[in-house]
Amino acid sequence: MSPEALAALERYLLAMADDELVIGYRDTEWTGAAPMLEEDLAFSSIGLDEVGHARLFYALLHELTGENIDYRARRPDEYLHARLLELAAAPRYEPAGEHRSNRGWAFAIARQYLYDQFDALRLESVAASTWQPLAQAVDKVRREEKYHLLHTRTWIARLADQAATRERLNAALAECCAYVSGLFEPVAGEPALVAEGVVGAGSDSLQAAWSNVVGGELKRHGITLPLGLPAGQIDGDGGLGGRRGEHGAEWLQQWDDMTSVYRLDPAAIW
Amino acid sequence: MAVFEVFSQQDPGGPYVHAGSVVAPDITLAGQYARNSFSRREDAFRLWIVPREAIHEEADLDLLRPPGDHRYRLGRYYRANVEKRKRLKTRVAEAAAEGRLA
Repeated sequence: MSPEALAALERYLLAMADDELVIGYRDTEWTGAAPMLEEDLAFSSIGLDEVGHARLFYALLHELTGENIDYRARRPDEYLHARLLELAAAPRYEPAGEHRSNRGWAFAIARQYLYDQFDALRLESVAASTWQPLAQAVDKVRREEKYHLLHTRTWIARLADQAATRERLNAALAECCAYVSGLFEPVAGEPALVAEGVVGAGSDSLQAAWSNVVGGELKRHGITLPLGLPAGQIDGDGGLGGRRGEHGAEWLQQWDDMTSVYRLDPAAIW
Repeated sequence: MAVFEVFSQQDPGGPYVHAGSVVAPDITLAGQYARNSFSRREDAFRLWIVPREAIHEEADLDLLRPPGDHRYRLGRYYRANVEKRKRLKTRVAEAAAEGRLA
């Protein structure tokens, strides 16, 4: 592997790992707040799967770099996840009594569905990676992701089925779409990864494939959205910047929550 | 929302054992929830998910545990008869050999 590809793979793996960690953490915030008890378990369990995948990708990074970096010890701007994934969905109860409803269940489902469709394509694109450790790791991850899509597809169908919930689903999908371009923001040096077969497809072709699949599935529920439009054509900046470490205010809150115990005593052995 | 009973099979070809129940709005979600609650340690080989209302319960003890003596129907009881007949046959054979039979 060329030095350019090596450096790009490091960023690519970090983006993959951070995506999984950040959405996984957001999913587990639904424990106790999902529409039913069984769903508390189901959605938190999906979140734990994602955190498990993040661990796997951080381990690959150790293997790649030979350095034993503690990925919990990073500043907020050193995380490379897409900004869509850091948005708060579950209600939040502060000990002081303040309560924020946040974006709600339809948003959590819409985001998980859109992300998992993206993740499935990304995993497919590295399943035949010329960097063997990545190709091997991905097989296990893909089998677990199968359940995630099964579950979120079921929920998309349920929410699309009735007028009241359909409205919420549409609003949630629209809000997600304003951030969707961020999923397909390439890491620096991506062309080298594609040229050397470390990654099978670049972000552009992933986005085209994603728009086809997601557009086709949602159409069956009678939903059409400005999916896959370039950032300029939808509200906001398309959620770009994440792959360069640029994030929003909600991420600072999440980072603060996620690392609060670790920061109490960074030297502690768990 | 309805209750669904979940039965799990631990090994291929093995019996299905009642694992517990889930509450869900339909059978599709019930199946997905069952997987979470009853195969979390990846221990199930297959799951059966059954709407509770599809289960007919039989609890009449007059039918299940009739008061009469029905031991003669049991295999164990029949075995005792076989042994008894074997002993009789031996005795008859011995008696014949000793010329005690007419």
